[in-house]
Amino acid sequence: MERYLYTARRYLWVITVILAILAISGSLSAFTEYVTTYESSATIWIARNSQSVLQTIDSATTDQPTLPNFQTPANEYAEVLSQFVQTQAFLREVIDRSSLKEGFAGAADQVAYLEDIRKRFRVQALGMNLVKVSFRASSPQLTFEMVSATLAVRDERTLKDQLGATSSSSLFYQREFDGAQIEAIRAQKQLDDFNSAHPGPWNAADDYKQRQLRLASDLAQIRTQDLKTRVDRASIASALLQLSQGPNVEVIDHPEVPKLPSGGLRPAAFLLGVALSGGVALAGLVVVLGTLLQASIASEADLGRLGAATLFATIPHVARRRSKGARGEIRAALAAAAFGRTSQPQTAEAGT
Amino acid sequence: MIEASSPISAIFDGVAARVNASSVPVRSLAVTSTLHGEGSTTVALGLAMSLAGYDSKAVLLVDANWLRPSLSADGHRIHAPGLAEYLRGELALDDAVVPAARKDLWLLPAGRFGDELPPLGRLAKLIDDIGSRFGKTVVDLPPVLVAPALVVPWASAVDQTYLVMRHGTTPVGLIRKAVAELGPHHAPQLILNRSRLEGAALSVAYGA
Repeated sequence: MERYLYTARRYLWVITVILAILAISGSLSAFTEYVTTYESSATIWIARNSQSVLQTIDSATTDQPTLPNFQTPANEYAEVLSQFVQTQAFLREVIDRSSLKEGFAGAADQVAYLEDIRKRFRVQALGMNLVKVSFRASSPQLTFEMVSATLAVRDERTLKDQLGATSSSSLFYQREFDGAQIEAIRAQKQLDDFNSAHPGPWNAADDYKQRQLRLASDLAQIRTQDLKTRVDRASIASALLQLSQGPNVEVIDHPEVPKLPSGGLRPAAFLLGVALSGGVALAGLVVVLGTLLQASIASEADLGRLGAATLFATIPHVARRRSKGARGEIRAALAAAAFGRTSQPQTAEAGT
Repeated sequence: MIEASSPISAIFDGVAARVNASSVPVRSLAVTSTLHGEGSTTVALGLAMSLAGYDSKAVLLVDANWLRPSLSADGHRIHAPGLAEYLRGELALDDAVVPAARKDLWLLPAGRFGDELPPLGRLAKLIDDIGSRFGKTVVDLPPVLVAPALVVPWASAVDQTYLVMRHGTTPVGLIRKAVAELGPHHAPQLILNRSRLEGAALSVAYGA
């Protein structure tokens, strides 16, 4: 260890210069990153009408897929929004509504462009019902545009999906209704045909048959009425959905154009940390290499480099078997032979 | 010279033989190194054992390494009074030295360093006292580049100082620095520890 300390003292100026260069450059980079980073954010309140937690089976977030995973409204919204941000289509829509549109259209590598945009988004749930969406960029106006566009695109997409689902159910009920109507007409026709063919009086068998036909006709009518009601409900569901969208998702803090740099503390700290770590690693490398590469007595030719000092004697290197975990066996053996009792090994073979 | 029961000490017999064969008689010698971990304490201990078996004269092993008094620990005298107390005049030499298990080998523990450096000006008297009782004295010193103030006075008091360097590890620059630290009048002789070189050839070529 002392050899390394001596090397460090020997190369103190080199180490100081390395550390200074990297510390100054890292500090400048961090400062530049900090003062040129702006962040705009929006805080959204999300609530469900039922106020009950949503139970989902999510095998990706639990060790045991059979365990239910309860999600708060904020978590659910943040997760959906995060997934949207991962998609290129969503990002393209957002960019199309911002001043980045032209820059994106002219970008040579649009995938890399989108990836860079994606990294600047941050979506986090702040509690049960609050979600914060933020975007970092060097332009304050751009951050505002991107957050606003994100909220708009997200809401439109969600609504579109829900409306699409509603239309699908409406179409399904309409087809069922058409089939039920045909069935009802057929049952009524059979009943009418029977009545006209049997003016009466009826025997017991005719009476039973007539009751059966009437019952079938009544059931067909009831089913037709039920499906008609469902079709009507599905057709007005989309309108109700649009009306109910407002109170469920409410933007509490709307995005604003930031006036002061913000949001750049973390990347700036990262830059500074990388620079300082690199400086320390480089200085350590200098010390280690400087120590290992220092000339030592390794051959007869090296003895001539000692100048006036003369070599009195050599003690050969002795390779001995080491017992379990024993260090400094030669030293311990010498001590035991000299002082009688086996002493604790003090150092390695070379001793002190 | 080499005891069958302790073949380890045979490693140092060659060094002991060279000490005894010096043109200038060496009765007191000190062993130091450039930095910790070079093997100076091991060399001092092994050399003292070999010298003790060389001509059956008593050898005193002095633990003057107050930074790491590992010889005192090996001799189970880590808290016992010793060199420091002698230098302060608190203890007579006869009361400070203890016999080792090895025949003709004695140990002067480091003693308690205290808050102040023991008066190293009394080293010459110590060497005289030791010389009247023991045939040879081997002093284990701390690394010269770590604590030159604890090493240089010894270098001027003993007959010869040896600087232990480790093969393939100790930088040449540090060896030069250590030699310079000890001064031109007390130039140390070098002992290459854990050498993988041809020892005999080196001894002929570079021996004192």
